[in-house]
Amino acid sequence: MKPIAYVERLNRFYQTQGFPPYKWTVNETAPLTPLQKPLSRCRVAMLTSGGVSCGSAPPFNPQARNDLRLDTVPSDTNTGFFAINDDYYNHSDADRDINCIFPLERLRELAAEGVIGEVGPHHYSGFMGRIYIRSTVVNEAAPALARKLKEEGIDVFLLVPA
Amino acid sequence: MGNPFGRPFDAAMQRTILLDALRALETVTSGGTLLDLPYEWGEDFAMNLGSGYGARNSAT
Repeated sequence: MKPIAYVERLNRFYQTQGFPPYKWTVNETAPLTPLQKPLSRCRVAMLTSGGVSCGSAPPFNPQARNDLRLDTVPSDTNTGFFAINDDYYNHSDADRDINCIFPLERLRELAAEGVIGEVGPHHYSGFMGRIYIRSTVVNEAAPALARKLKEEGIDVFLLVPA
Repeated sequence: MGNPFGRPFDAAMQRTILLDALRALETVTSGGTLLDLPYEWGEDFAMNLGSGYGARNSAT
């Protein structure tokens, strides 16, 4: 089948809602930080932005704007303990198998096999969509998360959009 | 959207896509690199967005 032009269609949809043409963030530079050790010795963690709440945490608000909520998810959480609340993508598959969007079990398997060194103590869930305060993300929220990751000795951090 | 690691309960596909991302860390030589993965869904599907976009598939 032909690729679906998501970006073009979403932009057209936004404009039917009365918004001006969307201005995408353009990052002029994207410095590469090479791995400092083999993957088999790296500690890996992930973030999902898919409105995924864990255990007794309150559900994410699907209508939220500028919600910088960031939950800490113990990396050994049972995959049945998650709930997804996000109206902006179809999560019917992920409702049945969270690994579709947040591959907790696959990452554990790679650690058990020695492909990666280990899974970090926590994963993260947050930065759900419709965040328009970009400077706050760039200057405050993202650096705060980066500091946590350094404290936890994370070598590789996967950012997974839903 | 909704299946960045592929199909539900398809552990092999999920693992492959996750590994592709991790292995890229060892092979990519410049920042901002985008990799197109070769996997195809194998069947047609409509653009299926969440209810936040109004009626499903209306954003055509």
